[in-house]
Amino acid sequence: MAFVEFHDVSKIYHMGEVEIQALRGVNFEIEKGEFCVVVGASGAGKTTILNILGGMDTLTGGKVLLDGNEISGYSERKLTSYRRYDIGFVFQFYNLVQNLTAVENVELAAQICKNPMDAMEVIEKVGLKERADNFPAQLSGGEQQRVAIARALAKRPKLLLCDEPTGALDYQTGKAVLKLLQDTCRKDGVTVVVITHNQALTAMADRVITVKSGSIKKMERNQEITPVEEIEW
Amino acid sequence: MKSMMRKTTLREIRHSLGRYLAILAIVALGVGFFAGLRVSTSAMLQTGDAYLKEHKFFDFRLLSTLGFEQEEVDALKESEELLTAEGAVHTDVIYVGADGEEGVLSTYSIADDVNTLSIREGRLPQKAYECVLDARMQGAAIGQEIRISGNNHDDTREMFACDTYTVVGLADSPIYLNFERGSTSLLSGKVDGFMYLLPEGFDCDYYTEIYVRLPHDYAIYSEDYDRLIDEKEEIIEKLCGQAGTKRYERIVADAAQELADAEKELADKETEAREELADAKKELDDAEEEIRDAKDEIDKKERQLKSSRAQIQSGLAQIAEAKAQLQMMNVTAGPRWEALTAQETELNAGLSAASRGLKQLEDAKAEVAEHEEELADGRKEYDEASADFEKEIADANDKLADARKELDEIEKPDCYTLSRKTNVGYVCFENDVEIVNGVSLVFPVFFFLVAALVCMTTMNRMIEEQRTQIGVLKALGYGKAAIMGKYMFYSGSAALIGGIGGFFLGSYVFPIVLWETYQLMYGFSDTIAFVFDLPLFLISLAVALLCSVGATYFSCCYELGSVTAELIRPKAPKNGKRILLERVGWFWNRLKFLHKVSIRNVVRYKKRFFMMILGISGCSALLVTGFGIKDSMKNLMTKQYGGIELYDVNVTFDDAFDEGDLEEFEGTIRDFADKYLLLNEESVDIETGGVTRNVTLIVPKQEQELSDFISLHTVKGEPIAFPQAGEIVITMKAADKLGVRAGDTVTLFDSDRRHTELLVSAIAENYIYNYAFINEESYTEGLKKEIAYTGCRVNLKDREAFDADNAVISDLDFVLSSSANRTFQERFYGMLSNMDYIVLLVIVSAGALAFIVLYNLTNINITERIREIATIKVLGFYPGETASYVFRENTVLTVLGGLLGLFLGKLLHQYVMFNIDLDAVAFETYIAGKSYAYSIALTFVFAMFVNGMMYFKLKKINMAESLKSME
Repeated sequence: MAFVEFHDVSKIYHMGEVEIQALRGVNFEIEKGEFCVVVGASGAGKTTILNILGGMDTLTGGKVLLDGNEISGYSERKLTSYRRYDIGFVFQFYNLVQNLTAVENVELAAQICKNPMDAMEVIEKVGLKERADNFPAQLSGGEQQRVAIARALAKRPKLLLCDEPTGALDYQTGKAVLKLLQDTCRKDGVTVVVITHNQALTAMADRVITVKSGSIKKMERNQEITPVEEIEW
Repeated sequence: MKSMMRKTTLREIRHSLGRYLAILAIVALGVGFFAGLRVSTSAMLQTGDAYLKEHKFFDFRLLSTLGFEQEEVDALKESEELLTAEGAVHTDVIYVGADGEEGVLSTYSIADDVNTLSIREGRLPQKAYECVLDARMQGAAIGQEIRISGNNHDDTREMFACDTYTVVGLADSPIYLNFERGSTSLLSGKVDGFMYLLPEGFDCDYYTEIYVRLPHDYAIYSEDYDRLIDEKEEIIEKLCGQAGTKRYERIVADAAQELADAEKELADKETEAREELADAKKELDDAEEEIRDAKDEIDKKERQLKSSRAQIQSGLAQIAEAKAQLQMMNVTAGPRWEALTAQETELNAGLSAASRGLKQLEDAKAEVAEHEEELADGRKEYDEASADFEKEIADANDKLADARKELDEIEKPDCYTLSRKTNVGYVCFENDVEIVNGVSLVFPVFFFLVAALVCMTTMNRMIEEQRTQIGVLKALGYGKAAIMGKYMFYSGSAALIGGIGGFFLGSYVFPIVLWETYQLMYGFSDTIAFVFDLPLFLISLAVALLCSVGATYFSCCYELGSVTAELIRPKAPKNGKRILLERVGWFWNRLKFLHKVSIRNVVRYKKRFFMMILGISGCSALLVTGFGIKDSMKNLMTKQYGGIELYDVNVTFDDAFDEGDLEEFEGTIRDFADKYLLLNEESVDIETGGVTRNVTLIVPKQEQELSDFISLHTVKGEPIAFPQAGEIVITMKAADKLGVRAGDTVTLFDSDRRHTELLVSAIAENYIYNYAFINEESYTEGLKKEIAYTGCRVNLKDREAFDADNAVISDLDFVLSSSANRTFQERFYGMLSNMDYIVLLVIVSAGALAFIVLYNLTNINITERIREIATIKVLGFYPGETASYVFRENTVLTVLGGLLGLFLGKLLHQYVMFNIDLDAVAFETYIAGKSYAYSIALTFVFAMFVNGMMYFKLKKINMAESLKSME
């Protein structure tokens, strides 16, 4: 039994009278400790998958399992707990609280967990020890994303969900962030799911899931993993 | 090009209709409050004015202790000074209601041209036995019977033509504008209501009062009106005096005439009676003489008869002798014998005739004796009648003497000219309008300010949101004016529509709502006048436009000042900053960092911070003020009646009060009075530096005893020594108005303009009415007149028995009025409960204010931080945690604003109380501790209510927002 399982998942959005079928019969699985990339063009349904996997949205049909728990049947409250204890998020635009310093942003997440990592420790881990007391506005984009990753990691999540983590970053910084994510996966054994439209990132993944028009076009295990440093886009 | 701009502007409005309507509504609310409250005072005044004009409210009420007659009324009507004068009968009467309980009704005769009734139900009376009853009286109903109780004084009973009156209508009377029905000396002193009868319903040949109207069209309470009354008062007083004198003269003349008639009648009757008596006597005398004559004759006849009988008997004897001689001579016949026999027969016949005659005489004698007896009876009768007559005459003379004495004793009447200021309803209405006015000065400005600020933040926010669009337009080559025009049109049109709508709605609704709350007190009109105040309208619109368009202009200028390229790029979110507080490590480090976030946020959005503080402090300040108004009034009563006026009963004597009355008075009150103090009480003017103030002058007989009845002390509570000769103590409101302090000199004028200069020795604490105190020496030496004790203050042994004791005092002939302090207090406390409506109005206003500000700002706050909130939710914050994350700032600001508001409220309350300027009442600004507690608690309730509403908005925030890019 895989760590993450999507069975026949479908999602229909109602926009007034128009029905939009965002997902139709999606099936895939991800093993524990894998670095998985979900790739697809915009509008293909990646974000819907992320929303559902992240407990931010409900599904219309099918079943979603994480670590053996069926989250597709969760109530609103349970979904919140699920986000709180099981999931770590990394956003495209970092979504740091502007009013909190780097370490405080990490604390914000750590505070609500049962067994969080020490905020300062995580900040050190992502290499921002020197900038711990800076506000987001005083940090570069890459640094902000590191803080965001640190914030996600501090919760010791079962799953780290990253939505276009490099989307707002320049090439070099993007690479550095990807490296951090990959290291996290390898060293700490955290399952990482990266959602991106960037085909180039598939080279570094253990598993690649390609989405197109609301269904899975292809799911494959990457046999030859390219180190982050060698990836180019 | 222009049309495209217009299109985008109109579309902008359509798409952001919520925001547009929000601005519109806030401006409408601000302007509505502003205009509504400002206009309410005028609307109330106009309504009152219209009502009193329609019902021909009197200008002066003339009273005389002797009453008036139609002739006096007619004479007054002739006067050019007056529009009209009409006599009326008025008396308080004990009645028996449907339930058999006794009560007191103030009864009036219906007048045609003054104080006309407004019939609420039924009709006016048409028959003497019909009446109209007070529409506000408990249990008043048409068809009910009002029976005049047998327990009334005879004089009162006799004033009524019928024993029972049938209620045919319920009405309001302009004499009773508010619910207050006054007091009476009957029963418990409480008046249940009023009753109006046709003049025929009274059996009274005089009027108790005359109502006078002057030819004028001035508004009630206006300065013009007051001036007119001041001018005319003297003339009317003179006319009243004249009328009283005429009535007096007529009464005296009538009585004298009656007396003279009676005297003449008596004299006539006496003469006649004496003649009759004389006749009777003569008759008796005649009868006596007749009897005497008859007796004489009888005697004479008897004597004659007796002598003739004796002769006959001697003749018979001679015959018998002669016969015997003849027998002896045996001569028994012969002519001699026969002659003798014949003689004898003759004599025997004579004898029997004499005997018969004698017998007849006996009868005559009996008859005479009878007559004699009759005569004796007659004499006795005569003697009795004569004695009776003398007694009667003496009695009649006594009576005449009494009448003469009574005539001499008819006193000149006391006449009183009372203006509208003595009508309780009229005065209360002015006070209440004045209170509304005071309140209306402050609150609306507050609302206006808040509306302007809210409008400003909203527009600011809109322009910030649209900066990219502005940049694009700028890049396309649109001029500043064109771009700005869009936003200025947006806010300007909203403000204009809102302003106009708000103005009319406020002008219309506010007075109605206010009036509705005042209905309990003033039932005279169901509707309130609509007042359109053009200057106010223009000012409101100008300010509304200035605030909205001005705010837009400044925001636009700020954004448009930026480089175009910068505008097109999204604006970086406001930077986080360390705040000063963080330097205080021991405090900051102890905070949970969610609290740190809140504190940082509070400081981060300074504009919002200030608006929030302003709104919330405004809310709690309004509450403090509202509660404070009531507290102050309540406190004022407590101080006045608990610490200053300590006596139980206040008695005023009539003008003729003299030594004898004083003895009677002292005798009467000895049973129940603990102490009493005689004093001179009169109305005087105090003048200094061209300012004049009318006060009541009090000169106690025993000045050292005053402190048992009236406590003289300063506001700080230091006792004041009673003023020495040449000194005066003035109460604080009058002193304030005169601008005098201890050590200043004032001139005191009495009603005859006698005057004296006095040194103000101290200012005494006093809240109701204005008084001045001087000693007897200052009075007699300074004003150069004798002192007369016109009143008395009494302390009772049993304070609880004030009703009964007061009734006893009221009953004394020479007591003009007597009122128990307690009754007065109770009445004031009753009026105080009406303040609840003002307080309620304030609470509602404060709630609205808190709601507008908190709702608007929280809304903006949430909209601005929607990403942050969505992220927080994604991080797994439960709804409650999210809410507290967002609302903690509100709570912090509510605490800060609320506390600041308590302080501001104290100031605001002072300002309001200062502006409620009543002549007879000095307000002291006092706010009870619990009012502060209530204020802050209510502020919290309002804030929590808004947070509660916003909670649902938070729940609806979609977490997908966190994934969106920044725009």
